[in-house]
Amino acid sequence: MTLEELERYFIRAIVDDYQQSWDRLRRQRRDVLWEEAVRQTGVPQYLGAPDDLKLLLMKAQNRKARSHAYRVHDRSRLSFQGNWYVCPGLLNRLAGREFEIYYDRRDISVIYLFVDGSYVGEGYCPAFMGQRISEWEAKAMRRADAVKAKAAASASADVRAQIQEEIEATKKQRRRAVREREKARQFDRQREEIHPAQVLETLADLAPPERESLRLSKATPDPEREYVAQSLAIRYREKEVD
Amino acid sequence: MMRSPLPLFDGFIETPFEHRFQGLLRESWHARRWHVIVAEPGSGKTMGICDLRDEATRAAGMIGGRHFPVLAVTAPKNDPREAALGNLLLAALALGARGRWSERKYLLFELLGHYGVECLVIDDAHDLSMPHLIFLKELTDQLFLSFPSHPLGLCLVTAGRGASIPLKDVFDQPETMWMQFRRRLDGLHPYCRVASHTEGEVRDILLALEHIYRPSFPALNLQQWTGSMYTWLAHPLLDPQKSGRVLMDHLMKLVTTALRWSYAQAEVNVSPKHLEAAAEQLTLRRDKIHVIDVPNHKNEDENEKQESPEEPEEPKPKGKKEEKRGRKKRAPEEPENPNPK
Repeated sequence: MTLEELERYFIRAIVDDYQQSWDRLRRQRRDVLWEEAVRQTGVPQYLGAPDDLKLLLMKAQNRKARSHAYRVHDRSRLSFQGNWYVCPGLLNRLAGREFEIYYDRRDISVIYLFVDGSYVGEGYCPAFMGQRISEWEAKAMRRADAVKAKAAASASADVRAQIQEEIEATKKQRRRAVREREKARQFDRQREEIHPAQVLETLADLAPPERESLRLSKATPDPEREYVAQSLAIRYREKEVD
Repeated sequence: MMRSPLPLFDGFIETPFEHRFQGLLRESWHARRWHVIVAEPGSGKTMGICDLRDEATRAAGMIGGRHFPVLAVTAPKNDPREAALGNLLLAALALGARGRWSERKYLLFELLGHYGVECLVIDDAHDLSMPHLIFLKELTDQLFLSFPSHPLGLCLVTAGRGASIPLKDVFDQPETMWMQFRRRLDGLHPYCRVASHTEGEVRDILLALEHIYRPSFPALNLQQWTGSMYTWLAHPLLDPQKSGRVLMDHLMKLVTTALRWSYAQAEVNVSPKHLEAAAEQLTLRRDKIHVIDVPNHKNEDENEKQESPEEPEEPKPKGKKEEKRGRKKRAPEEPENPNPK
């Protein structure tokens, strides 16, 4: 059963069953009693904005313990129930501050952030990619992912062990190669002291040419044809006369 | 005989970039709009601002006192106080900064009206602090509410590369102050990025430079090198964003360097080898450290070394032993006491 279906059955149970049943104490059907009461006193109206009401009805979560409080990581993201949430421009300002999180359990792809009781903005979970994911679905997904991740980690552990063995085996060879390279470099550095200038020039000519990407193209005149060129205004600075 | 250095152009070319940039500034000035303008460092923002300010001041004339329709200042650096910006505004009006800031501040409001300021241009506005921005809002609000009303155009000219827009993160804050600031920005184009030059526009600039340097180079033809210059100046070292646009600063450096070298060799046109060398200097060799040392240092050392074996030939003492002894003794004394007396 989905959450929407449960919600629909719940409403039907109140409206079509409970309200239609007989109230022994007041000796009347409950829907009739409700209508009479509405006629006498009216329905208390909520005067705030509908969006504020939505926020107020959401579940609030605030961790008072300093060590476990929600924190902004890297000045750009926030971890909530094992998922990363982002909000460009907002989270960097909330870094180091204590805030409360409001969320609707039916959709935790968005969380609402409050500082000192006032709403400051919302955080979005990019992992859900804009889909509506309930708290229960998210938990189930995490559990399923954890099992798969564990299986994958154990499978890759053997490969890692093999790689480490190979690294150990080639370590000696690499060390020797590095040593030889460094020795050659040191010898090369002595070149200027060893040879006279004209020999160094000849050696430089013999050296392999620079990579193509590190050279600029030759200056070549544009092909001869009619180019439309616009003459630009030139303003000479007025020279001050003593 | 050494030739005198090339007389360099010290004026303003209304390049296509300047046309776009000044167009935006003019729109802001005439329609009293607020814009945040971004362009790459070295694109010619400051030159454009100076030129527009001078032109506006000239056009306003001196009848009835001095007028500064466009007032331009550079944002204060490392001084976040509003007084720092206020003092710069006073200096731009050619007025001293004496007395207390609390008194000068309100005098400044009056002075801006008195000198007929219609548009404020803040160069390097990315350096503005929050107190500076709040002060600008207060200043413009005060003038707007004065009688008769005196609305001001405001251009915050910033330097930036890539997609980021400086100051946007400040104006995006939810506080009322920044909401009001955002509301004052132009409704259609609050944030504007001014692009640099395309290849065709580089050709136009080279044509203008030909006119400028024709007196020094009678056969100057820069336009024919447009394609090569564009390729060099769009090199990833100079254009890491791969925008395919050329900055005025790079173009002027390339052209003037090549012209200087060609002029020193008394050539009548720019030499392609000088253009290539200047382009290399500007791109591949730009980080090369130029060592300034004693001229011909190596040669001097070599000469000294060459001279030393000749020394024994000078005097001819009697014996070999004496010769050695004499050389050992005399050598340090000679330079100390050159006078025979």
